[in-house]
Amino acid sequence: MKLEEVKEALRQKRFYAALAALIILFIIPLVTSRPFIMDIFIMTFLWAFLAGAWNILGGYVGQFSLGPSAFFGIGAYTSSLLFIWLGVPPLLGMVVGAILSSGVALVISYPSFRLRGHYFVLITLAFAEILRIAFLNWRLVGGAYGVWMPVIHPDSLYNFQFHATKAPYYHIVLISLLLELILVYKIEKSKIGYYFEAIREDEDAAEALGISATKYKLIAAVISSALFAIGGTFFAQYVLIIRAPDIMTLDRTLSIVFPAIIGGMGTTLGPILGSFILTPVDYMIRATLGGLYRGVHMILEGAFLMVIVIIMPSGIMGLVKRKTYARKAAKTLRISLEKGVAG
Amino acid sequence: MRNKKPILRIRNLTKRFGGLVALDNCSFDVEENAIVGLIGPNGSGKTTMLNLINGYHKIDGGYIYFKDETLNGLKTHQIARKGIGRTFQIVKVFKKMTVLENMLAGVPEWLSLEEMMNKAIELLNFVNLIQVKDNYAEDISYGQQKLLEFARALMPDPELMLLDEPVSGINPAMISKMLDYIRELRDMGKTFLVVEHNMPVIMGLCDKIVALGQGKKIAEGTPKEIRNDERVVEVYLGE
Repeated sequence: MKLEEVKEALRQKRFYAALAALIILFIIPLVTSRPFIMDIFIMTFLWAFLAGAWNILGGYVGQFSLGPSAFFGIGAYTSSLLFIWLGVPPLLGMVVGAILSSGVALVISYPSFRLRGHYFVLITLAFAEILRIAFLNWRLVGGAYGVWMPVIHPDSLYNFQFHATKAPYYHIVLISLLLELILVYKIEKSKIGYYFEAIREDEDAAEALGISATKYKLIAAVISSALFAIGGTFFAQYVLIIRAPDIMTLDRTLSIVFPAIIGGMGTTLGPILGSFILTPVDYMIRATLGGLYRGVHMILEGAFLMVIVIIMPSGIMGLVKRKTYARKAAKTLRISLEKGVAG
Repeated sequence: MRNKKPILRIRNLTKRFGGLVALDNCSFDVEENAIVGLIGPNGSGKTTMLNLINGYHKIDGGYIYFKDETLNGLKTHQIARKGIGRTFQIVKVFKKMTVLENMLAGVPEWLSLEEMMNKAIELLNFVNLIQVKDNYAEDISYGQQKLLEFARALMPDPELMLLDEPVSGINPAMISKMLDYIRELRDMGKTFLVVEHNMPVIMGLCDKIVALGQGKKIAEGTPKEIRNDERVVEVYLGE
């Protein structure tokens, strides 16, 4: 068999493996309807979705934002309040939230992107904290009491509430995750994807090639924050209680960022893999040890993160990519050295 | 020297960093289709000159014209789009991207990846990097990285290339290759402004040389004229 044929066969195999995994994921709710299991899956998907959103700006463009909780909150509050005040269906509220979130991201990001490195991280953190405290003290949006969504019947996508079974939530978030995955994949394979990575690697060199760093950072920020807001609306409709001190914290931000770091920043599958490891582990530790000592799950997670960052700084997918690449690269490098190209 | 009209005109250019005057009232032309060298001791303002032309620094005084249009006030990426490419003194490749991906990052917004793929391959062939196209840029040798940066700068098809020490830190065999590439591209119609410390290289390569000393232009002329210029010798060797 020729090399191309082998490659093609592999590609086919990978495609069928992915298809099989998808079918299994879609039928899981038919097999088990235990709320605890469903809950773990739904949260795993949601956190994968949010980590994937963070990965666009943080992983591909290299702008390490600690602001996702703010946009998550904007999405959650917008759709919930629009529903309570005006009876706007949550799905429409979600769109409004995403647009609002993008708008806020544009306004905040434009000046923030003048800062690089650690200063950018700090300003995004400050922004998220300001927004959290503002919502906490803002009477109109419920202050510390938060927003309590009324329970609506019947279960429907229009009402975006499902009480009989969690399966619809499961499918909605799974489909959202798949759509996001396709989006990220498309970006990665397009010119924009190369521009994104070029900006991450060296902003000055990217600019010298004619790439407007500010423009592409803003594009990434808008996409990321719109997706955060969509995740926020989903969370609001799932939990039905929105409180700034619960959902707009640094803790929330970190649980969005960690899966991306552990799974591999700047890789398509990394954040999803990260969430599939972290979220269930988090649930298990909390379920078994949570009652023992307050916060023990966070100590364990912290330790886990440290180990991962030390042994594989580019994350799991980063390591996988590196390994598969190394075999091929070693050969081509040797050839180039033999031919005397290197200097 | 070929008598052609200037593509780049520097007029009374001044740049200060705090109290330090990095460039002081410099004027010179870069003629179309020429290779112009910019020489001077360390700290004489050569890299500052490139940084001003490509918009990395703000101009404090004077003007830069590129094809009768002023570049004053434009941002780096806008200047790049006007047709000015650049390489850096310390090589700036996109390390965590493959060699081919580095090239594709240079595809201009208005062209499609598919159209430009051929060009990327062609250029990698041109600088003899095609075998390492799937390697991460951080894994190839420093000399190869220099070539990659050079080839990448050619992707948007600039008319003028600013090269900051194109042959520093690479071996002699590769130096002669790099010089061949520059000459070949000049023959294809491109213009070069080259900053270089390596005197034999710059004397052999350039049609015209501009010498800077402490931010001022001290001489301008053919390599032969520059070699015999008293002020240049003085600045380089001391009295």
